[in-house]
Amino acid sequence: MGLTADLRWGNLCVEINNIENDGITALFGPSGIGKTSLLRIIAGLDRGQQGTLVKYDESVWQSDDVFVPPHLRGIGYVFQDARLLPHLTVIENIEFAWKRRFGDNGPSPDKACELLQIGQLQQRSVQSLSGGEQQRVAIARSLASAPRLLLMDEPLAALDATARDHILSLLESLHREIHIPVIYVSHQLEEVVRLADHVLLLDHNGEQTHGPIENLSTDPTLPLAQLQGSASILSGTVCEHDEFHLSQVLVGKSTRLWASGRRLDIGQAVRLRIPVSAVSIATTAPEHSSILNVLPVQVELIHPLDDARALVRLTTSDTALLAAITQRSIYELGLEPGQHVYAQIKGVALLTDYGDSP
Amino acid sequence: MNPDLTAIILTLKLATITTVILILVGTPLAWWLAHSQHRLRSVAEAFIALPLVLPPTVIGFYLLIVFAPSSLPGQWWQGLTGTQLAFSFSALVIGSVIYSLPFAVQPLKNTFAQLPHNLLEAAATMGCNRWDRIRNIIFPLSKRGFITAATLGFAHTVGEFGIVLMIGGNIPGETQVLSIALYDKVETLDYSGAHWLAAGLVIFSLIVLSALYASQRNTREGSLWG
Repeated sequence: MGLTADLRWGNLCVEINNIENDGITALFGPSGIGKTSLLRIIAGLDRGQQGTLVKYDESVWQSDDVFVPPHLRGIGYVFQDARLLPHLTVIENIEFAWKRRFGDNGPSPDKACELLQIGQLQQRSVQSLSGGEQQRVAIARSLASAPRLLLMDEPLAALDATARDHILSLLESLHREIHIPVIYVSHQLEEVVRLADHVLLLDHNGEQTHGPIENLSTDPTLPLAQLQGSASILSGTVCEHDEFHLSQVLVGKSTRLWASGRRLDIGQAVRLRIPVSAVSIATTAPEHSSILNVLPVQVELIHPLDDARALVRLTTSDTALLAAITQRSIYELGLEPGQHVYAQIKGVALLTDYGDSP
Repeated sequence: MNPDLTAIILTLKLATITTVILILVGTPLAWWLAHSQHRLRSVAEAFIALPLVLPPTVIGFYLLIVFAPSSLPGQWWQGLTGTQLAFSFSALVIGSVIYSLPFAVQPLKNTFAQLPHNLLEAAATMGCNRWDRIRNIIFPLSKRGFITAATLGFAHTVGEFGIVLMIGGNIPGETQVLSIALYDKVETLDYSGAHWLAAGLVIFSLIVLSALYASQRNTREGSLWG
C-alpha cells in the first residue's frame, strides 16, 4: 500500500505506485524540474492540476472531489529552510510537534534530540543556532510528530559542506531507528547514493523510472549512472574482518568483496558503493596486483556515453556493477556482450550500517 | 466626588472600552487589509484612514447628524435602549472607535502582512488546524503589533477632543472627559486647575509612549516582524 499518486503540475505528470512502507525513496532529478512542487502536492500545501490523485493506504488525500488539508494528512515535512518557530526555544519547538503527534510510534522530544545530537541546544533560542543546527532541530521536530509519511525537500541544500556531511551521517544512522516511509527530494547524487533504498528518477522529458537503488544505479542507460561520481550500489552482509581494517562483504551467495570503512559486526547488513570509474576490465586474471577485489564477470551490455567513453554492465551470478571505460579499451580488448572477463575494483566503500542486524 | 477625578475615571473608562472594541474590530479588519486582493480594499483603507487627515470636527459633525434622535440610526438606538444616542457615553465610545481606528489597524496590518507564511505551512504539516495556528503562531508572533495597536488606540482616545466636543457635549460623569474638563477650566479662567490637568496629560502620554518604545526595543520575540 503506502503512497499512490498521480501528480499533475505544469508539464509534469508523475505517477507514484506504492511507495514502500519502510525506507527512503529518493525523488531524484535535475533542479528546476518541479520536484519540490510534487512534494508540496503530496503534502497538500499545493493542489496540483485537475486530475491529480493522492492516496495513502486506504485514505484519499486528493482526487477531483476530495481534498484533505495538510494538517489532517499525518505527514511530516522537512523544508529546505528549517522554518522553526522563532518565539519558542529548541525543545519547545520539538514539543510543539510532539504534543500534536499523529501516532505513538515516534520518539519522545528528548529521544529526538538525542538522535539528532542537539541535546545540548535544548534551551537555546532558535535564532541563535547555525544553519546546520536549525535543520537538525527541524528534522528532530518532524520525527517527534510521528508522521505516517515523512517528506524531505532537499533538507541539506542550504548548508555548507561540513554541516551537510554531518547531517548526512546522522540520517544514515536514523535509517535504522525510524520505521516510516520517507520521500527525499534531492538533486545531489551523493545524498541519493548514501540514503536511498528506492529511487524515483525524473528527467527533463518527463520520463520516470522507479526501482531499488541497486537496480537503478547499475543500469547504464539511466542518468543516475551517467553523472560525475556515479557509483554502483550493492547490498550484502559483513562476513569477515582482517587485521588490516578491511571487512569482507558477501553479496548474494558467493560474491565476496573487501571493503574499507567503519568496522561493523559480522552479519550486519551493509551496502557497498563502487564508483563506476574505479572498475577496470581485464580479459585474463590479473596476478601480482595491488587490487584486492577481482571478480570473474560477464559483459552484459555496453552503453556508449559519447565518442570516447562507455559504461559496461558486468554481472556475476549474484549481482551487477558498472565500469566506465574508454571506447579505445573496448576496441583493443574486443569486448562484446556475453564475454567472460575480470573486473578489477579499486576502492570499495562500505556505505551504511543500514537495515536490521539479525 | 471631585469633578477632576470624575473626568479622569470617565476618560480611563472610555479609553479602556474603546481599546477593547478597537482590538476586536481592528484585528479581523487588519487581517483582511493585509491579505485580501479585493478591489474594495483600497477604498476601505482610505475610509479607515480618514480620521488621520480630516479635522475631528468634520467627523464629529457627521456623527452628530447620524446620532440625532431624528435620524434612522438614532431612532433605532432609541428603540433598542430607550435612551438618546447623541450626547451619551455610548456615542463617545462609537466616536472614539472610529476616530482611533487607524491607530489600531495600521500596526496590526503591518504585523500581519509581515507574518511569515512559511511558518504557517510548517505548522500545518505538524497537524495544526486553523484555530491552532491563529492561537499558537499568529498571536504570539503578532504580540508586538497588538501591544502597539492597543497602546496607540488607548492613548489616542485619551487625547481626543474635537469629536467629543461635537457629539458628547460636556456632561460631568457622562461625557465630560479630561480634554473637555481642561477646555472648561481655561474657558472659566481656572488656570491653576488647567495646569494640573494639562501637565498630568503630558506626563501620562510620555510614560505610555516611553513604555511602548522600550517594549519594542526589548521584545526579542517580535524583533523579526516589524
